[in-house]
Amino acid sequence: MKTVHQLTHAQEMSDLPGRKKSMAAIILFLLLTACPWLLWLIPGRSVQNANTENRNLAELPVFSFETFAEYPMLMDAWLDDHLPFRSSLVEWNSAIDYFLLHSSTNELVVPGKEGWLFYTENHSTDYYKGRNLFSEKKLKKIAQNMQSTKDALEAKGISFALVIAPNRERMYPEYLPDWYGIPAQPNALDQVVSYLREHTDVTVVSPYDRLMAEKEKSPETILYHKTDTHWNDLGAYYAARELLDALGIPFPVGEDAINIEKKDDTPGDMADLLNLKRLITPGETYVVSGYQAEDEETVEFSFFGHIRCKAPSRRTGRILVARDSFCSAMIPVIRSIFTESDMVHHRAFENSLIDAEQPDYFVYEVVERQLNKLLKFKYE
Amino acid sequence: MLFSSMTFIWLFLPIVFIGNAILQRFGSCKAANILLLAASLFFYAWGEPVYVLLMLVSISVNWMAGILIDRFTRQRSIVLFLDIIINLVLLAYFKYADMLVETWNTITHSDFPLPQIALPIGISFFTFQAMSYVIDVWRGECLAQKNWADLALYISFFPQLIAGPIVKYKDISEQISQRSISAEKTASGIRRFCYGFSKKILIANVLGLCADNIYSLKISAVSCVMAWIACLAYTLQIYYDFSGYSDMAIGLGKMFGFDFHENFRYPYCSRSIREFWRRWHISLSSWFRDYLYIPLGGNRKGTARTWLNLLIVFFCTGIWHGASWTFVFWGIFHGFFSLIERGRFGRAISRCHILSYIYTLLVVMSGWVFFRAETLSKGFALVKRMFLPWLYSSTGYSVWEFMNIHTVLVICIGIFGAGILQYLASLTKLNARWKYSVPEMMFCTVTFCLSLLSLVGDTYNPFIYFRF
Repeated sequence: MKTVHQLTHAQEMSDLPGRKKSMAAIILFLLLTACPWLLWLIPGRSVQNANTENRNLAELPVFSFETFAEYPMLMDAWLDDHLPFRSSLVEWNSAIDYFLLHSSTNELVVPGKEGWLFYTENHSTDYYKGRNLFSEKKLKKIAQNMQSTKDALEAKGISFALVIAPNRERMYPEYLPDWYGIPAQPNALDQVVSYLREHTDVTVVSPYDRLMAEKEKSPETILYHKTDTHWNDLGAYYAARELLDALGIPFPVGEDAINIEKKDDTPGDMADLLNLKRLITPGETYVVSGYQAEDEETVEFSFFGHIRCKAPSRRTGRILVARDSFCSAMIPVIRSIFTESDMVHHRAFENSLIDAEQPDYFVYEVVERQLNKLLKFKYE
Repeated sequence: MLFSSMTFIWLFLPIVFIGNAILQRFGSCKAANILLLAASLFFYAWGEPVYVLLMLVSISVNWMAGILIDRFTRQRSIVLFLDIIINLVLLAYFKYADMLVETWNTITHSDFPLPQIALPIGISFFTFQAMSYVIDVWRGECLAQKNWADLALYISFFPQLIAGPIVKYKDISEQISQRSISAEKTASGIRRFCYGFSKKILIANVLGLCADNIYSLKISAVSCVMAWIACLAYTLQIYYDFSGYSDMAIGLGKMFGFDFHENFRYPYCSRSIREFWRRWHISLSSWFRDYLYIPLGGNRKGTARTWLNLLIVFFCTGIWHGASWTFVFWGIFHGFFSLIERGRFGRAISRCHILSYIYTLLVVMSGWVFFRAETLSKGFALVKRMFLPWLYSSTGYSVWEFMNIHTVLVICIGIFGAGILQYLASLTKLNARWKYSVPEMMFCTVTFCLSLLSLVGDTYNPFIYFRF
């Protein structure tokens, strides 16, 4: 019985490319598979290879007989993280999808209208569409946690406020893709805010209403970044003003002293997730000035730890904030208003800090898409 | 190691390709074989650093069985029997132990712990390949291979080790000892490899994401439209993934001087399930035909026995694919339609071309739902949503949460590329002008580059906040 080799040989010779084309194909193939590493070794190359992934890249593994089973996987990880021209190739891949197909290479990023990029992690879409409403049991639990916190703090003479930053999708639905639809009613944010206001005497600061009012007053003034999930300095300024009003702290200057200046924004975290920082136009942001204390200063800055500031000329008191990244843009206001401020990231925050620092004010700040944290946080 | 990894594309393949070309040109076929064997074992060990020893044991057992069958003609049947038992026991232990224990627990209401044995990649392929060699030696269809290294190369050859096609020893034995490479054959192989690579990366991977996202939802969130999108996406994903791998295997084979049989022939252009199985995973269906169906009697022992034989074959086909009752159901599902097509139903369907295409596609697509679903109940729930749309119109989820313009474009390309485009091209003789033309070379270059970009893009794993 003839083998496939014999059967196809005669056909094969008549079903093959010509010599020149064959050589061209082979050379091209080797250029695309063998050459990248060779080019990478050429000294003096200039290639962009910054780490924009917010993680430590894989290290070159050391082979040992004890860990030989993991060696291939670790080596693969190292190769994947250190491929020649990696950053540029990732950028081109993202650019093809984004600019040609208006699509995203990252499942966590949804391209919206007019250059807006939206985030989908932490069930952001569920919060927008009202698909993750809290049950009565969970609302009760949140209310108990917040009330216990307030009561315990009040017993120590500490004022407590809860700040919930609205998700960007809720603030700017007009820039979302059409399939998102309109923001759902009811939704978890409204649920939690109204339940707490009805069943507790906790000071709940929900800047959503203030921000929507400012947006309606001046629609062309954007309060959130286009390519970042967070509010910009102007949005955060309004939110901080809401907090101060809720705590009964007067603002040190009048409205006519406030200066709002427009400036070019920088590409944000959504652009980073696509590695398109160099190619995306981030739009505009704002700088708010006119209220700063002359002697304010930042004493310590650790994004995932403590951000300690002081403004000795202010007699407002000391504030401790358990925060997430949304508080970053509020720092200029908090730093300027309080005599001392310590803004601690949730990752580093422990209840014992309240006992250690004995602030006048304690604020728990959380973004809408992480409302679940309120099921766990409690100070007693 | 996977073909669709940067380690393979930018390191392993060019090194082995250049090394083989040098040895074939300036050395000998034997030297090239040693290189390819070493490369194949390295390839497998990269993904299975421990189980490479299992594969070596399997190769040695089957090599010894072939020699014993050749030497001891009176005991050859016993040797064959023992060899098959050893192969099947190995396969059963590593692949089906959990399923067997879980099923036993369900039937007897026991609570035995699951062994949770890690599955060696490709064990189904190399075990079947090894068994086919021993059976063919027993049948006298080929001589026993005395050289362990040559047999090891046949069983472990990296182009077809992980995902087929299942190559029969008699089809490749001559090529192991004498073959030549030429620039023309190499280029033909490169072309085939590029098509397979692009099919896998640019179509299968994209659609896989869409299908995975919908299949991972709880069933109450899946509407009729979503169920159909997931079904369509998976139907195309599995074809382009599997046929893409086969294209890459055949292409790589040519690049190293080997010719493998075709494994897919536009199966979604079939007009019956019986025809589907002559076009889908041809090497597997021909393996079961040659080594199970025909030895059981085939269709030579009456209608009832033919039906039983077919059901056994389809049961085995199903369970070969995976250790879950969903795969068994899928196999029996196909077996059922294969059976009823042998009677009046088949004759009725075949009278109308369009009806036969639609019928076959619906059966195949519905079958894939069970193939992909984690459980039978989820499979049935999804099929209900597909065929009872008035009950499952809206769930609060939009299909656009799981797909985008890119996905739609790929679905369109996938549908046309699954046989329609090739049929139209053959009508206009375009396919003959396209093959090996300069535009085709540019097309392959562009799609290969896009695939590389996509692979490198997949290595980018950012976090919105720093991950310590």
